[in-house]
Amino acid sequence: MNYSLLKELCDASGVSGYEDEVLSLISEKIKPFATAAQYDRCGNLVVFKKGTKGSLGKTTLYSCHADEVGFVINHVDAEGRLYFDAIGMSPLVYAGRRVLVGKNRIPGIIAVKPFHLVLSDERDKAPCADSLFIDIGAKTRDEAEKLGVFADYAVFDTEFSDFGEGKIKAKALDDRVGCAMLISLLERGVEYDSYFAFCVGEEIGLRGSKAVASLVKPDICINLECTTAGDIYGVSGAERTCTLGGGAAVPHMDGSSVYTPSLYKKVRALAEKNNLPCQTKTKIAGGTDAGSYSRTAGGTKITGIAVPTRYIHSASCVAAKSDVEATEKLLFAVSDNIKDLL
Amino acid sequence: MSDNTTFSEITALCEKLTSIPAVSGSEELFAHEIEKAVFEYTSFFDKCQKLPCGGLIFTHSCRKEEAPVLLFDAHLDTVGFVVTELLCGGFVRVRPVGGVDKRLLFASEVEIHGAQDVKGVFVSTPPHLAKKDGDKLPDISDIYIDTGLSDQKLAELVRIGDTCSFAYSMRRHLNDVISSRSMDDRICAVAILLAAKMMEMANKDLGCDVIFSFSSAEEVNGTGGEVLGKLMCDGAVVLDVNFGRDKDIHEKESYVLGDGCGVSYSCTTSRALTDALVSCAKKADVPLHTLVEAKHTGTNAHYLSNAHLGTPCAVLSIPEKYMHSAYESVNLADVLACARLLCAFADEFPTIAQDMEQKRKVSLCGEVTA
Repeated sequence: MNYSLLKELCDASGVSGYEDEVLSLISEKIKPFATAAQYDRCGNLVVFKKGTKGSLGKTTLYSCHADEVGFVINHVDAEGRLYFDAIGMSPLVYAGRRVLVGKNRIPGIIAVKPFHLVLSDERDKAPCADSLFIDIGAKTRDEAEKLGVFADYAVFDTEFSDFGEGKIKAKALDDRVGCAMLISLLERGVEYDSYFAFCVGEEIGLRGSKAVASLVKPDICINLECTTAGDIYGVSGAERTCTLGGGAAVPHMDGSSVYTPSLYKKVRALAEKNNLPCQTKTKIAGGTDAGSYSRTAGGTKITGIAVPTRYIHSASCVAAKSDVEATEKLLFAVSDNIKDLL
Repeated sequence: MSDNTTFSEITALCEKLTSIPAVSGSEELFAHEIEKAVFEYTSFFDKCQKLPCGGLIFTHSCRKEEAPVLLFDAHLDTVGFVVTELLCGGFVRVRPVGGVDKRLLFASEVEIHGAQDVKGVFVSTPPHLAKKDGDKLPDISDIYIDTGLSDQKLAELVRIGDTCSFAYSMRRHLNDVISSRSMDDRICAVAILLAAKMMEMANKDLGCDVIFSFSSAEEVNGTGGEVLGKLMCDGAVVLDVNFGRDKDIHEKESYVLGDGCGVSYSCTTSRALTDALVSCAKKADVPLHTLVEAKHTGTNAHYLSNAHLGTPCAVLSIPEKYMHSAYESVNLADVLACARLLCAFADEFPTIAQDMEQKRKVSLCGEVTA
């Protein structure tokens, strides 16, 4: 895995609906390797790559999403406070954090009142989402609005870094790690003609992928994701969902889809054959773009490969490098054996 | 034409359109009446197509080759009720269709759209008979409609599956406010038709085709918006009502009635098209407010923007008080402002569409064909 590429991708902004910055970064990265690339009518970046052996007569699509969780400023009050809608998060992970507003990255704080003033019956509850705001230091509505913050986005103010032993920590690992893997597959090349999609709007209801499905009409879709690992202290058994260090996560089912059973088996067998650590998810939770591919434009066979990640949808997502690498290798193995999967 | 003449015209058209029912799911039954009302009001549109899902599409061709297509959408369907059971004594059990506030139903008047329109009143327990522990309200299916008919007559006129609306009546209030059932979203259709009439009267030579979709099922599942994806329009302005400012409604989610209409920025709609609408309003000197509805605009844009290959959508709204009630209220000045903006937008749309298309293709290699 090219970790400097992954860092660039995670540190770029791309809140759902505001994917321009990260997509233009991705389009720069893929340009040398793509046969054709364009934004579709929905804003997804769709790429075609000619295979070394030409066409298989069937359409293969590799997909990931470019958007990330974050904030959208929906109101500026008279004292210059920025109120917001949080995309894909609970107040527990954003109250008391620093954020960067808009493409000019204006630093702000999602503040709460001092602990001394928190009433005793408030102390055991999450702060109320509607009461939270971003303080950028502006004193008036006019001062804030002149900066163009209204209807703009904000992302967590944090940087990709190494963490603990053999781990990484960043915002937006979900799903920039998928983007990074698709970029590296494009660079590596494919045997047969393939499409690659970097989708918008996954975090607000698997939206962009729906249009990609109608455009590409794939016969098979391989969806690259980051998935919830619940393997923290005190959690045991199936509740762990998947574990860091356990290898690539290949789900059989989640909240949005049942992954094509025959493909699930074949992908697991491929991992075994190539000695790649691999696990499935032990809890039916979450949803991915695979869900839209399975049911849009006639539907298609779907399989998912994901990197187990702790604390997804927060400023501090944690993943193991060994899993990132196992997932990337499994993706390459899938690509090399796509003929057998179809 | 003075504003006053226009206001009377808007009121008359609104009266006509809100008198026609069409609870979600029953649109097809009223399509003919709607078509007639539209063509009686304006000849701007060349043809009308009735869709399988119950919606209607009116098309104006500019008779130019390769002209971009601009879609104006308003939804035809309204909230209401559907009959689920005929009960002894002339009573009818119904279920709500769309979001209805049951607190407002007791002893209120309705019309059941049976073999003919049947008047009804939701039952209510007089205070003398009410139980002391009556805090929790029953489900709507247990607040029956009394038709006053004999069982035999009721069975002749009403069947399971018939729809039911709030009783119709329209009022004009102080300061150019009008109220009626079904303003959501007929008032937006009125604004579109007013714009169409303005363009017709001005004999406008447009550079784009204009489609007016009077869509079905917005209040229940967005089917009518979703099917428009196949039209592959170059841009869509989805018109719906939004919250009018009132006691207990925050300024971040509402507009003041009479101060103009509004646009919503959202993660689910096209920012380029929304920006274009905002700058068009500025140029045309039409008052326009901005809101953010980040995740779901609660309009057809949510279903249309990523249907089929995707359609760039902007959401334009007319502020309305008392949404989903029998007396939804709007201000005539906002309707007029909205129509003026639509005219100006149709004028500029060819340039806007071209800009968006160019930006989409910028700096990437080759075109992906599937």
